[in-house]
Amino acid sequence: MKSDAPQNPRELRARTRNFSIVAHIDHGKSTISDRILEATHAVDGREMVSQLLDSMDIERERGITIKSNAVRVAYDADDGETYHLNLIDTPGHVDFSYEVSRSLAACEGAVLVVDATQGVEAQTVSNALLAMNADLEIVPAINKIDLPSADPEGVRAQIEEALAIPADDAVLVSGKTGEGIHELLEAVVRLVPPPAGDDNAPLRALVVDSWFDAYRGVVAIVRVMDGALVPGEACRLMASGAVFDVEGVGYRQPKERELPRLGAGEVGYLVTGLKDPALVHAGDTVTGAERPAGEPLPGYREAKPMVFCGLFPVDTKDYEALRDALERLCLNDPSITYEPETSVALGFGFRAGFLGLLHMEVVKERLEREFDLDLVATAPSVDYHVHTTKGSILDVKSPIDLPDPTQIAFIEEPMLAAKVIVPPEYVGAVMDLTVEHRGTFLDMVYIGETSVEMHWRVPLSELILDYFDQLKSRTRGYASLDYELDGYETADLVKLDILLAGEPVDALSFIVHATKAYAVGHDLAVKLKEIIPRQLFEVPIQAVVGGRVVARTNVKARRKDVLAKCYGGDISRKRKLLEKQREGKKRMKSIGKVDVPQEAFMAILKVGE
Amino acid sequence: MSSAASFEALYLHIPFCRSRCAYCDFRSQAVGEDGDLARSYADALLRLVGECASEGVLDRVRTVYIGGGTPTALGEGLATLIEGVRDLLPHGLGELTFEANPESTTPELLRACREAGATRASIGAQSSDDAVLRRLGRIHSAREALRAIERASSAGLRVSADLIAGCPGQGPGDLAKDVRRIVGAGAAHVSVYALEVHEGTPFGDLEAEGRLDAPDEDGAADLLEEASRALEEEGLSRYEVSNYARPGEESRHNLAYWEGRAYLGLGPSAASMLEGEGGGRLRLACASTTEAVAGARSMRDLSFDIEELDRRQAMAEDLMLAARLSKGLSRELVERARAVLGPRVGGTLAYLGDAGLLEAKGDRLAPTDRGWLMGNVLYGNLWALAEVE
Repeated sequence: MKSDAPQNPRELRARTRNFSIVAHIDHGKSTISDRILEATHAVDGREMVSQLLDSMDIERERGITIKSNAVRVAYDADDGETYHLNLIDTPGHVDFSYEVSRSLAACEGAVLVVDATQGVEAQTVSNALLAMNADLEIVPAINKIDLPSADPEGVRAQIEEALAIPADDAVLVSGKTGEGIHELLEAVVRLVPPPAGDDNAPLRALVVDSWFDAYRGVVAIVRVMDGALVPGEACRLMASGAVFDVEGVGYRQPKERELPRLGAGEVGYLVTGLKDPALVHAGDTVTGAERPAGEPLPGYREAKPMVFCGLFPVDTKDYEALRDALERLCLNDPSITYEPETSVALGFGFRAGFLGLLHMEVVKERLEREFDLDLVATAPSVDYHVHTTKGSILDVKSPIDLPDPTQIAFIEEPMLAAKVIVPPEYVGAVMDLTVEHRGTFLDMVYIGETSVEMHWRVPLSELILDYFDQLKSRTRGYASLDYELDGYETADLVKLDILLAGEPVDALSFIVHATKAYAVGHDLAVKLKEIIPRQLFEVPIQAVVGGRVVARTNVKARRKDVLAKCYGGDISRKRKLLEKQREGKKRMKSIGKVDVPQEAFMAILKVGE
Repeated sequence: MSSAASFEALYLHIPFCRSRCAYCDFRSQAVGEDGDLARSYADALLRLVGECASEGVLDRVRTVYIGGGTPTALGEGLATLIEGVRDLLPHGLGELTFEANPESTTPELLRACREAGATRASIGAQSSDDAVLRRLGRIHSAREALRAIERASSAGLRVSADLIAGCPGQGPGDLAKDVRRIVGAGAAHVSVYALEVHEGTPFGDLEAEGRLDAPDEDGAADLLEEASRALEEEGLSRYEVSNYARPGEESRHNLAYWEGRAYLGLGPSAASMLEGEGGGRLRLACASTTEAVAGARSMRDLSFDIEELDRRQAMAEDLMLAARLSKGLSRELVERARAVLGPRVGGTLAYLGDAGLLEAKGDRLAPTDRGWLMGNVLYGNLWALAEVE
């Protein structure tokens, strides 16, 4: 390997390539990343953890990427030069589409991975479009050529047809055997342009992602566009206004390597020393405090939570622990918001905000796993604007906070501009589904022959329930979805209350469109009947809207719960069984006389399963 | 085992069976006809009983129960064992019960056991329906079961029979029919158990695959109630959650378990109970294998798992066991519990009363019909009183 010795910034840029890997799910993005790290000796084979870039446990388990990451490797190319390749990993879920766009903005190229046995699929198309919109050079790679059913030639033709990307020299690779990885890296060097940038212009660096480090404060992944980041120099974040002195810069290999400066065109980490993670958002621009840039980099959007749910400790004694846990989790994920919430049924807890449902699930799982908490999460809600008869406007993120109907003039709900990309044969299915979800169809355009891009205006509340899952299942996984907030609109919304054994349970309440109240009430009551186990007393379940019962059902009382034999040796055994039963009961939430399992509070998400 | 111990009941476990039933998770040395092991095992039991007797710890024993497994799998050896035990107990036997499976119950064996000193036979009938017996994996017919009851009765033994409710293939009316048949054949004592499906048994496997077509909770409850009604009609009253008897036919041995009297159990996993210090209680489970017991020269060769109950736990266990009996909790017992466990006792009893599981009968608190069927809630709440708040 040639030396990493100081060189002038222009030379350095000429030998730098910044790129991402994009793919349809399961087409092999992570294995190819792993292979690249291996091939460039960034990671020793023995210390290789599969899917290295996804460092969080939950990410690894679920095979999804939540945080972005950037790794720099040195690659000795066939032309005799050593190149710095910055591989920028992107999140892979619609909840994080903004984060994806920030990652792509840090790149000049993208490797588009297509499975040689599956061919072009919906997310192949949508991810390719995202990359093209970001003006990235696309390097097509056909993966899994080791499989007997691989059809690289067919897939090559598909890429040209569907995406209008020349695929003559698409690289054939196998993430499994490592075949073609060298050729792929050669193609990256050849096809991806070196980064541009003005070394003498005022500093502008794009924040791609950030996390909190207990010793160093907020650390950000940045792409320097102009100027340079130099330790000791004072900087300012243009959106948040935070000011800090650069405490260190460098790159990750994935181990951190410190550098004396991070110049234009480079991707690396920046130690800010800031103690408040909320001050450093993806998409913000770092500039010099002394000689600031006139304009920030384009595309900044505040990470706004879209989905809210109540989080309550099963054991009320854990309230403080939950607060501490949320506080600590937010250090690494400032997109989470939370404020105290009180429920008659569940006691003290928090109303927390998330980027989307997956984000919500991941955070709940992390709270439970990393902080050893047992939590009840209530049905997700959006941020409604409630106009009262007195003329004030309330932000209502929880059904608990909805005023009495007599005090409500009207309610506005957040809307989304949604983009669905599907093969043409699924257009009808998407139409049906989205109209069922109160969507308004705007228009659609054909992209090549194999994809249609449909534009919709849909209430966010409809999208956060089962829309995404339904979309996947009704299009056999082909559809991809992207959306952004698009204002508010008045809607006929009502509160659906659930009564268990005659008592309203506030934590089960739900805000729903009036036309759907009956159906949702019925489905929810039926689902709760499935979830709530039979117990000592009969548990009538009622769904009520505006004082009118729209659905009712019953969990019958248990008839038999007895361990028959109890002689000499059985006595200890039976006692232990009774203790076990009791432990099981403790994991449920007692509301009045009724024991309610934790999943009941999320029943609305399981309706229809 | 401490020489200060003094037992009132003796249990001998016979861990042999000719075949394994589809619902059974009991430890038994199933199948084979390993006659040598069975013989040396029975000899060893007798040796151990002799050792205990010579140390005086069996002086107060009035009842003996030989259970299994299948004691009759010992054949004539069972009579030998009974006779040996009788001769070792200084004050003779008030009650000696042995369990018997229909297929191994010959008139000769019954007579021999009676002559050796047995007073009572417990017949594992389980059902009077051949189809149900086949599903249970029993190797006897309904006819054999009824004949075993008749034979035991004519041999001069008091007869108990077991029934299982909630088996695959059972429906309304079946338990009432079972009851009439076995009582008609001469059973003066009947135990009715709800089928329990355990993991690792053939039934457990079927259930895991969703292919065990046993009655559901409501169906099983109906069958248990039906059995109860039929037994009362036949003149057998419930005296414990699973046990019914004509007056005077109750199992004195089993009452010793439920009334908290000390007992000694020998054989793999057999349990013993003795009073501990300061109102506490010790329960020992024999941890030795069949082979180890068969080779034991002395009690010192056996190993036991010891569980120690403190005063609160022993008290709560008394409450739990009393709640399994028809006579229920006496005022004296409740007062004692209040003294040991504190005022929470009152709250729990009130809750159980409100829930319709316990009711006042004279100066006692007895389980209701619902209390029988929802026994786990009843016992679980009483046992939970042992916890210190």
